[in-house]
Amino acid sequence: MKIDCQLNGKPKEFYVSSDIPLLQLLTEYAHISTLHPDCGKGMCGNCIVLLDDLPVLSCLIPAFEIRGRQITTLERFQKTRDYTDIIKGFERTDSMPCSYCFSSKILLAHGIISRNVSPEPDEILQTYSIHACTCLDVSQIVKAVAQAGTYRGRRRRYARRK
Amino acid sequence: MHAENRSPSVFLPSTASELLELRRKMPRATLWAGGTGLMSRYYPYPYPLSRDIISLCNVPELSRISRTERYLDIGAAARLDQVLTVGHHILPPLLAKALREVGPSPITGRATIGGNLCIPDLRLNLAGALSLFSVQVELRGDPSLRTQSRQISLNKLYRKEGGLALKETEVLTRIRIAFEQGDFQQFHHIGFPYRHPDEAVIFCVFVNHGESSISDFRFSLTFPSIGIFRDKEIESLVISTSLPLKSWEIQGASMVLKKTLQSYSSRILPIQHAREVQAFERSLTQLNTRSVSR
Repeated sequence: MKIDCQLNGKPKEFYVSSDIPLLQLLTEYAHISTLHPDCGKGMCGNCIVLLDDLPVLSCLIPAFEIRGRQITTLERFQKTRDYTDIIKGFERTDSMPCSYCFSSKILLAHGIISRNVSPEPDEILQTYSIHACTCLDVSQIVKAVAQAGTYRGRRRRYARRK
Repeated sequence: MHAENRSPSVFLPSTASELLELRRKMPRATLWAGGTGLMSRYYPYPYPLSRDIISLCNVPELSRISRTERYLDIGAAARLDQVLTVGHHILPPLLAKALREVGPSPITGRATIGGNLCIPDLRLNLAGALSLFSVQVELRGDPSLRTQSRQISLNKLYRKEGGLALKETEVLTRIRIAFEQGDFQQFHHIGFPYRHPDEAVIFCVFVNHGESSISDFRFSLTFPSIGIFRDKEIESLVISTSLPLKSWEIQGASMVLKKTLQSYSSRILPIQHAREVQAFERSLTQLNTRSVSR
């Protein structure tokens, strides 16, 4: 089946089986290297990508669902200002995710603070409960995402004033 | 030989009648809504279950949510996030919690209400929570019926021996929930119903009480891989008792529950048994605390 989509801002065409998971398409056909899935069944949370700017588990999305849609992985996201806000938040709170879950934790943080720049700790914890990696303590994650939200909010206010 | 390896055909109906026509032609096709259930049990290519997929994403009728004074009507392919957003103030707290606890936002943003109800071998959050309310589901596509659809109570959707009581060509299209006010509502899941259905349990309770006595008491215990347990006898034991409940009354109801559960199914594990009984006792104690502090 022919699948047309925008991958990291560029139009792409894939000729794949319509029911393979997006994760498989990204790793095997598009050679994306920032995803480190452990399970492929929605259990580990290490395969998060942005689908139309919303974080999704790429192992739960079949290829036919991405036709005409935008997929963003960390490769592209790390060139944006949104990424800078998040990474500053994590750095400021001295809590860097490990290399295995780095991509997913960053994209999840983006999902939270795009909805709300001052998220409640419960909201952060519930969103991160999808993640099985324990490289960071929950309190560190809460602080880092809250800090990232502060940076994002500050930048938005500054952009509006300009 | 190579036909086995062909990519599954994906059909994208845009109206409910197109969907029903496709379903009639291909009763064995996989119905696709959010896919969180199907994909997590996914067998990589070639997919062994079905060579055809009918995607429900383009049928607006199935993701529509409407309300009247008495009912909330939810299309079966409405996403859980969508239901939570639209029905934020009108959903019973018990149901809102059941929806929220299906999973974090990457899951609730994709999972659908129909999908949560229609996994044949699992009873998940919504089935347990909705079993306490007056809920009708609309099924369409039965060729033997003169009318386009039939409405049944949600409890009749599930067979006692497991599986769904749907005909081969039928599709769940709408869920109608009657509004009800409750003074005390709780939803708890202990363990992970989806990942470890043999150990997890779901407990729901809905209570109405006056100043001094309980006027309505409903509870359901969900064993994800077995079924939903409701017992009218235990409910009637609690109804009309005065508040606060005496400790012997709580112990008595709990003893009856323990005995009834033993005869309910031999597949209930001791851990599930203990979890449900404790949840039941705890909820009665919390009801007591609340009634005293009022």
